Amino acid sequence: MTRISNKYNDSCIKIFEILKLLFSDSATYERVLEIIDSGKDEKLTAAVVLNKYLNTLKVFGINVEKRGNKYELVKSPYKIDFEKPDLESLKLLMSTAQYISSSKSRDIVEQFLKMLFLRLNDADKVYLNNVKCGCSTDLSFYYKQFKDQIDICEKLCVEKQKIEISYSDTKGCVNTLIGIPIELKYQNRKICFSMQSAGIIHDIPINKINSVNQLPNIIASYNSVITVVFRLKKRLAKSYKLKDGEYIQNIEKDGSIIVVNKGEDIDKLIARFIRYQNNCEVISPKFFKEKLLETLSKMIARYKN
Amino acid sequence: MKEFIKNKTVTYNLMSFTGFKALILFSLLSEAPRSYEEIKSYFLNHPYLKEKISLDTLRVYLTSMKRVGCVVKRERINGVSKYSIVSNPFSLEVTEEQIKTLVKLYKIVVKSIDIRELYSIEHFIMKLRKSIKNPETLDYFNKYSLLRGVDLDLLQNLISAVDKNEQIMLEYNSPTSGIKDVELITKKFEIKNDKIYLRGITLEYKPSGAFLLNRILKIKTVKIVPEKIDLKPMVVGVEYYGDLKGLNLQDGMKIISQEDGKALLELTSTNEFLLRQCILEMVDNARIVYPESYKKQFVQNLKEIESGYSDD
Repeated sequence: MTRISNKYNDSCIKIFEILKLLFSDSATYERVLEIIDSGKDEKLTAAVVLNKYLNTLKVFGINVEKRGNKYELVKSPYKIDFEKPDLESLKLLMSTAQYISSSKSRDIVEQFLKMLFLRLNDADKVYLNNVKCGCSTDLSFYYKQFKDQIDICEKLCVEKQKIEISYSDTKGCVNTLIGIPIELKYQNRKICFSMQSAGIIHDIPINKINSVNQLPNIIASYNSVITVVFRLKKRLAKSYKLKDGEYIQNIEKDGSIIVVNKGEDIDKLIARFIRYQNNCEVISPKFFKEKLLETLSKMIARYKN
Repeated sequence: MKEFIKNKTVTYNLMSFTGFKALILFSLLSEAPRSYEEIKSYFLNHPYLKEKISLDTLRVYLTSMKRVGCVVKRERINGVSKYSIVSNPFSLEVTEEQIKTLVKLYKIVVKSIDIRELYSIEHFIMKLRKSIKNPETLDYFNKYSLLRGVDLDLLQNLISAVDKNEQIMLEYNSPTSGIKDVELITKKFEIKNDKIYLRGITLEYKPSGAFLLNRILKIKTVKIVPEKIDLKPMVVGVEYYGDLKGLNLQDGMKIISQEDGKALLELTSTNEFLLRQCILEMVDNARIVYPESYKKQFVQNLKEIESGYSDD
């Protein structure tokens, strides 16, 4: 550890400590006075000294305003130098935050943006406020069309009670499941409510949910989710990109890989394996292999008439 | 302060002169490494300061800055000892919770945006990484980035080539045949199943090809005026039995008619592989209607997949 000499300058320390508070958005009047007041000064004297430091910052080009009980940084020379496409990306992420129903997540984004704003130059702030969401696709349908459903599903995920859900599947048949709510997944202009029923993950598009009832049972612990183990061969093994919740268990001599998948929607996994054609082989569980064969038989049966 | 605004003279009474000098020094050393002589000269010529700074005073300032969390570096550059501030306590610090929420937002938008926007988000994160106190926190974003492992400069050149539909020669690391040259007329980027493909017409065999972006190593040559190639696309009619609202209508896919709980879709593509993938993705909700030869070939393919699973 580098030794720091004992000789230091008190005013220098104080001005930087005030700046530190300002950059962390925590410069309340009391905390700033704590820095100024070394214990011997009267409160009135401390306030005068504080004014001197604020003047110093202003002369240097750092503007500070008192809003309520807090000092806030209005202008500072210490900036992050973003380019316009960076700011457009930031705007895209900012506007997407409104689609998140969880108020905790929104607060986290707001806090991050506040800290970032303190470090933007004036021109960037103006650009960011005026630029339209840089997204090529209008994502507002997420929020506007499904706002109520999103709110309900987010609430279910937080409350951790068992649920009984009725929904229509891709063929329009009504199904009922009892299980555990997990999370909302945003997939390719589709929002799915992910739940676990008997160890199997189901991603149900929220517009397909007919009804959800909360059951009195509180989920003490999550049951383990069924894992699917499969082998990928040939060129697919070389170019495969692991998905969320997957890992490679083994690489075989011929270059094939054994992948373990946990937590993917069972129907999506089947469709994925069928797309892999002969480059994929399911190792376990047996019921999954049977379900995959059943789907393949149904596909072939479409042509038997 | 009024006095300062009026005559632009800094007085000891209205401000902390020492604090001001500390800020000047901080600013100087944050910009670039400076020698004692350079600092002294700057202080002497500064319109408000107009005074020398002794080496001892400079050391006291540097010590004070270290105390508040600045990292001061001293190095010899061209035989002269220079000081610089390599990090300071005012930099942004991104918390783990914040980056996780940003990734949550990224996941929402990532499948609905185009390659340019993906590039911009990546660039924004890269900029942020250079400007924050704890860049390692952003490693979490890398885990989910669709552009992980992609050279951003190369991507920018590829985007420019696609915009102009240029004919380019790529060095490509093929999963089957290893590193090879591929010449193609660039058409578009396609994001499918968490992978990004560059699509175009390959010159050697003349089908439309799709190349994984993260396997493109470099652009070797660019032909501004591409060769004229007339590719005849394949048109396949598919009966679709699923819910049309849930169907992701992709490029080259259109609904011809709808009746009795099924729809007739027409899929047009110059790439047979991607066409087949698209139909397979519909699983048992699809049935090929025409052309007959393609239907037979498809059913044969399904039987082969089935027998692969029935064998063991």
